[in-house]
Amino acid sequence: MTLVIGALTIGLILSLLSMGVWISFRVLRYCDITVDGSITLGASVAAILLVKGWSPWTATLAATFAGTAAGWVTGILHTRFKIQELLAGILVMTALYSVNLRVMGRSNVPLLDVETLASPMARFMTRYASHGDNLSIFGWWVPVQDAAMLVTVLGVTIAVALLIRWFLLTHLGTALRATGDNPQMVRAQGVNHKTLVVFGLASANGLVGLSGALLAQYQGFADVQMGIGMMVWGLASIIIGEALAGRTTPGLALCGAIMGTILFRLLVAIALRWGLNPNDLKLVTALFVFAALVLPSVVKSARNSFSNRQRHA
Amino acid sequence: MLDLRHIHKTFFPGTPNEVQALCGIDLLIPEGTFAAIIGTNGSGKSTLLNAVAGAFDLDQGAIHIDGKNISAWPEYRRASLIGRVFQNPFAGTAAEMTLAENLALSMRRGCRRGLGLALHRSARTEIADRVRSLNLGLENRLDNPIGTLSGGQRQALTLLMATWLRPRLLLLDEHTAALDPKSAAQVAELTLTIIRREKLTALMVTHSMPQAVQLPDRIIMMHKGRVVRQYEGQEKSRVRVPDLLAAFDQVRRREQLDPAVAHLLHNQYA
Amino acid sequence: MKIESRIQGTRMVVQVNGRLDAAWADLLLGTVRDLVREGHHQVRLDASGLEYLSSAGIRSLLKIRRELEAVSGSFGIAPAAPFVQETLRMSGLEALLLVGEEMPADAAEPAAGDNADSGTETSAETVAKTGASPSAVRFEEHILDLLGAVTVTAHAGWRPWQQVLDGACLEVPLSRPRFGLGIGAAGRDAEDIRSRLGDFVAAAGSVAWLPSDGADRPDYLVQNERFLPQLNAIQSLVGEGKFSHLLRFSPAASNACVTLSDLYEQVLRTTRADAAALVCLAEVEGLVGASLARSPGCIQASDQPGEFPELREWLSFCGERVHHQSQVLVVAFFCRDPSHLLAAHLAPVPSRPGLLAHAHAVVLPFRPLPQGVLDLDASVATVFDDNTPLALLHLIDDDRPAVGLGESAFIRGACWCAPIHDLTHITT
Repeated sequence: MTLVIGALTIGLILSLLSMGVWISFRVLRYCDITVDGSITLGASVAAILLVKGWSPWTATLAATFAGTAAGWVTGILHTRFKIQELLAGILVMTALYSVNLRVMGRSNVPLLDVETLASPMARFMTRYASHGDNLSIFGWWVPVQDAAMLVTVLGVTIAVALLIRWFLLTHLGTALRATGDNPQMVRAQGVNHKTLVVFGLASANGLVGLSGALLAQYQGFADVQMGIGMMVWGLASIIIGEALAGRTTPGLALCGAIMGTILFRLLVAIALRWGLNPNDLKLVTALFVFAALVLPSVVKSARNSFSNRQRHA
Repeated sequence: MLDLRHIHKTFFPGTPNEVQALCGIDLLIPEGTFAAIIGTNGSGKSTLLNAVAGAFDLDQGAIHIDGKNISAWPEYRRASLIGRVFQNPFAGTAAEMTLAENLALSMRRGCRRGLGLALHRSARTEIADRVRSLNLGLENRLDNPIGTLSGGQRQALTLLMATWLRPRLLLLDEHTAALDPKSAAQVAELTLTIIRREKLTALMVTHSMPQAVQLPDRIIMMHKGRVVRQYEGQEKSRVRVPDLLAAFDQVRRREQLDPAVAHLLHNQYA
Repeated sequence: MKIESRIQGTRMVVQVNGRLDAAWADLLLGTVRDLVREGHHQVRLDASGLEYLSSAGIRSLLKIRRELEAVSGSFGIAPAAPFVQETLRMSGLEALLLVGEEMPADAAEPAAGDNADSGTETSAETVAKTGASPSAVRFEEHILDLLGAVTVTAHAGWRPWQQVLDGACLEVPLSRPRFGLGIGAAGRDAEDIRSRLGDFVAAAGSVAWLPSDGADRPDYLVQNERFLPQLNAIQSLVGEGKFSHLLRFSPAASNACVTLSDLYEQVLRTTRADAAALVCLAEVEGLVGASLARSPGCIQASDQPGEFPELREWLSFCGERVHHQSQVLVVAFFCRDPSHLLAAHLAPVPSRPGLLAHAHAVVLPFRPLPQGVLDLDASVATVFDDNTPLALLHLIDDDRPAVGLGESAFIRGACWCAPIHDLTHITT
């Protein structure tokens, strides 16, 4: 049960990241690698502010804004200074490594006994907890801390998902979606597509920063290495989500991103339990994304050549 | 009213690929006039349209629409005055978004886009009404991705989008060239209907001489970045396809008249 | 349907196998038209292999017959399958289309000149086949009037490329039997036509000119009982008199043609003169020429229209050999002697040193000409009847090395010519 709760919590936290990657990768069609840096940025900003005694909400909000700023810089580099999208992301990601070290002052900030977002919920739950620090859920004993984190994160993720869905259906949001689909058309409709690209990247990285802040609070530390491979992780989640929910409307796609992240996290947790070497995890993730990107076309051509052969026979 | 004054544009200046695309275009299209630009390949007709739309900066010259100098406006800002339909039927619409969403985008062309819902109920009704008036049976497919439609259908919708808010100028860049003959005829007819109904000022680039003869009020003939001839008023009404071909031929012949021929003619044209 | 043609004696026999219906009628019509164009005016249709004949087929046969009659040729169906005879009998066309068994001998050939009408006096007519004609072209000389000669009236109110002065314009009558060329236009007075002056050509009461006010095609006037055409001209050469000879030419070998200067030489040889004039109706191999694109009346004192590149505004050069297989009416004045009084109005022909000429041509859709001796007035009237001129050119001899277009040349035609006996200058 602890495994399931843990996977659910991390899955929900990372689904914020997946939604961010979904906005840049699917909505804007922009391969934004800034994500690897901005998740760490969110985590480090939140961690250092919490250590300094800021309120968890303010710290989390500040981490979100830090992510937004990182995305904004990438967007400006790409649109204003005409740097290729991948290179712009790499530049910002690289720079963020130093920034993160500066923010934290060292490579790792532990969060011991600090107030987190889950703390109010934990206090609330303890009041009703039947058995000390543990909570009974359908007969399973669960630590209150974990349950409180799960509930909080669930609330935040649902709220954010609804907010994004609503935004994408507004005039501005429709224009943002069209920007990735057909920038020429968006310009012809009187929209500065560059502004929208910058705006989209900023909000995507804001989500990633938020995700980082929550991750730090759940894990109890922020680490300068924690962002490596996060963009690929997000991609894998989106691909699973699209297989589950499709990508026809923004609402379905967002649902898919959340479900995909949780499922992927569960799969990873099970694999680790079965003895997968954690060091191989990133390799496996990369292979998975590679397969998911390549397989559809391989299957298609195989099917074509098969039907051709049948026709000739 | 569109007023072009002395437009110059050279691409890749100072390189071996240097192209003098527009060499001093002066053009005045009065309010409510439908003008067609015809010309050989590389005559600069599409470049002229792109110059008006703001796809690049001019080397020299000024563009005025209704007296406003828009030469320095970026492309997206000009869209508040200009509606556009492209040659590629897929260029004017966002393929993965639905018909209704695409049309909703055009309802705010050049206006501020706030956080109101794009497809509120009254917008949906208006969209359904206008799509029904196209008579293409698309009103039942408002929630399908627009990418599932044919080129002709998409081009008709692009036209609807470009004219949803009455543009001060409508730019049509060979918008029927990539369609099959039947769709091309339908879109051409729709174009004429909308332009006449709304009394639009429009500039159309076309390769089709019959279209240039039938549709517009005025024909502008371009060659090598210059306007070489214009037909308007009564002259336009008598012009036929062979006349246009003959005029092109004349332009081409004029070009072949080099100093050696000039010497020859000088000697023999007593 | 299968169409085959073969020469049998003096006739061209077209053998048709299969179905002659709406789908194939145009192909037959086109094939026969090509044969007529090549000079085969006696055509027989071998319909023994015909399987089916529809009304559309009959219509095309009647059309062929009508077109051959127009050039004094003949058309008939022989032999015909029994059902073809039956079909034609029922439609009452038997007499028109069916011909009986004929002698396939040369005796059936109509005597040359038996259709020459009274317009030209054929007092001493002989036919001479000149063997040593240039470039495999067969020339046929017909003497029309041994004393025939023309008087030329020359008017040069404008010297290229100066301004057109007041009073440079002259009303030039161009009714029969005058023929001529120059620069002018039809209009009320000199001021009216100032912006429309263009090249003109006139013969046998038909006048064509190319208005230079942006028109893409020539305009024309045709004489009738009441109307005598005339133009206001700033430059003109007008001939009047009787033609001495008619030259008929046709290719003796495939792809053979006669160039304009071949024609000049042939005429000068035939008329034994130093200066001559010609009016020629011919099928075009290719024309090379130029025409005024802007009226000389618009030249301002500051303009230099004669100089490149300004010349481009004023003259339009054809740029390639044009109007292949169209019909052309050419009027030309030429002489071999640079000291001849006429030479002032002519320009040297660069590919023939010593020869000077001035020629204008009006191009019309093709129409076959009858064979033998032709009447100029009737022929020109037929050519202009129902046809709009396509183009008008001042013919040029383009002798530029390598890229030159060469001279205008003709495939077959009729050329009326006469020596020039007298020249009058009109000064204004």
